Amino acid sequence: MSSIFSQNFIRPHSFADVTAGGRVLGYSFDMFLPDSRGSHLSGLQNFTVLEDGVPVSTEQLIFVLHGKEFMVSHFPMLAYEYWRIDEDAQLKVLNGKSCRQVGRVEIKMDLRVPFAGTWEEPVVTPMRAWACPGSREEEA
Amino acid sequence: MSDIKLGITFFSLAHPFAQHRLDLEGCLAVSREFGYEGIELVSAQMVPNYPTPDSSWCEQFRRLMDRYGLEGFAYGSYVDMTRFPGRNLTPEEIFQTSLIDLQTARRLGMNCLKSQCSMPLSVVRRLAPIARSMGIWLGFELHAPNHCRDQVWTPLFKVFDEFGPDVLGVVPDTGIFAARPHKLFLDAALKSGVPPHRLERITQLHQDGLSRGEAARALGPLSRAEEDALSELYREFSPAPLEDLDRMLPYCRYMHGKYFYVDEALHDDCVPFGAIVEKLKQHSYSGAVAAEYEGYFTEIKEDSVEQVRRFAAMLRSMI
Repeated sequence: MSSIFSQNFIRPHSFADVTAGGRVLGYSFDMFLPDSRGSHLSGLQNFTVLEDGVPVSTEQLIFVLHGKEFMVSHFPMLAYEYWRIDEDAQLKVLNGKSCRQVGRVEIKMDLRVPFAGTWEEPVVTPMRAWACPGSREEEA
Repeated sequence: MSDIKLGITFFSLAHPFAQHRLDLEGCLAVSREFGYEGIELVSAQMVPNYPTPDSSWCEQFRRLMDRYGLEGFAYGSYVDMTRFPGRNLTPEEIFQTSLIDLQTARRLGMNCLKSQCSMPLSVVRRLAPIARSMGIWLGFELHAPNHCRDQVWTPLFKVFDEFGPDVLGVVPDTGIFAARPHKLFLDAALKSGVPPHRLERITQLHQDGLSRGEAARALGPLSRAEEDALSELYREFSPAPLEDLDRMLPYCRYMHGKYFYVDEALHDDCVPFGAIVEKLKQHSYSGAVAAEYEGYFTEIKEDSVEQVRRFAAMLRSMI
């Protein structure tokens, strides 16, 4: 069974290298929010990227939405930045690797459901996605 | 034929919308095609620049509603209590965000704002006269596990009485009457490893009215999958009595027809819509029942568009 929350939310065909001045700074890919409604970015918690099972430093991650670039550490402050379910965000992984050098990319994040629960007893949905940029694995 | 109106909340179409199979106009088009008379637009789902769409979009939305001959039954809003890290929304923030939603509802031509029962009573009292002046009915969704006699809703009904049911009221969600497990629940239990004969026994004990503890004792040792299925069965399918509608309907203009699966023969095993519609007729209910398909919380491979087509056909035959 596959619920809307358990979708593989990485767009597998979106992987591309991020370059500047002829040098590869890293790679990027697109992702969507697997939910029935949008959410403010302040609702994203424990955002983690793993490359072949190894965590990537959050300082090497840039989250792009509406043409604006955010660090993962910015998320708690982004209570006015709204991510709709029909729009893709882009994630840049700026660790100097080309996407061809990466076997498997995995994202784990928790979405605090804003309209359910309270801060004292929050309702949190864990979300997980993965892709193998080399093999262009299909979305689940 | 009764005066009950057939509506749809676009919550039902979240998955095809998110996957770009249907845009907003596509949602309106299929709603019209399937015979729905009006819609609920879910603010946090489809509104550009949420929560404050620009005027040109509002005008375009109203033109589309006219083009498809649909009525705006409701603007669905939320109390996003945990939007800010480290604290809950303050009553003042809830008032301000709800005021924005009231104004947006008016700009979109809606005469109902659906909100949540987590709104503090003090805020409900502040908003009620404003809603009245705007000609908007402010309805609060009564969703499982709440019921109309609990500690949240008893005081809320008293506030409804202070201002009158012409300005404040309840939006019942028929999920509170979900009595039996639906196909998607049963399929998920089987897939999780519950053997078919054990699942049949579990559902039979539930249907026979045994408590969860009594059912567990009757079943003997349980596997992890069986224990999970049993717990979820009793958590999700412990219905409120249909008589609760007698309490709610005098305060109701709009309700959610929550459902999880309607089969090819246009039958819902889970939510007793036939009995619900009979109750509505007894009360001469003339508001809308809006299809609220939630099966995609369990299985997205089930076609949401086909499910809303089936619901419309099923309910049309009842009302």
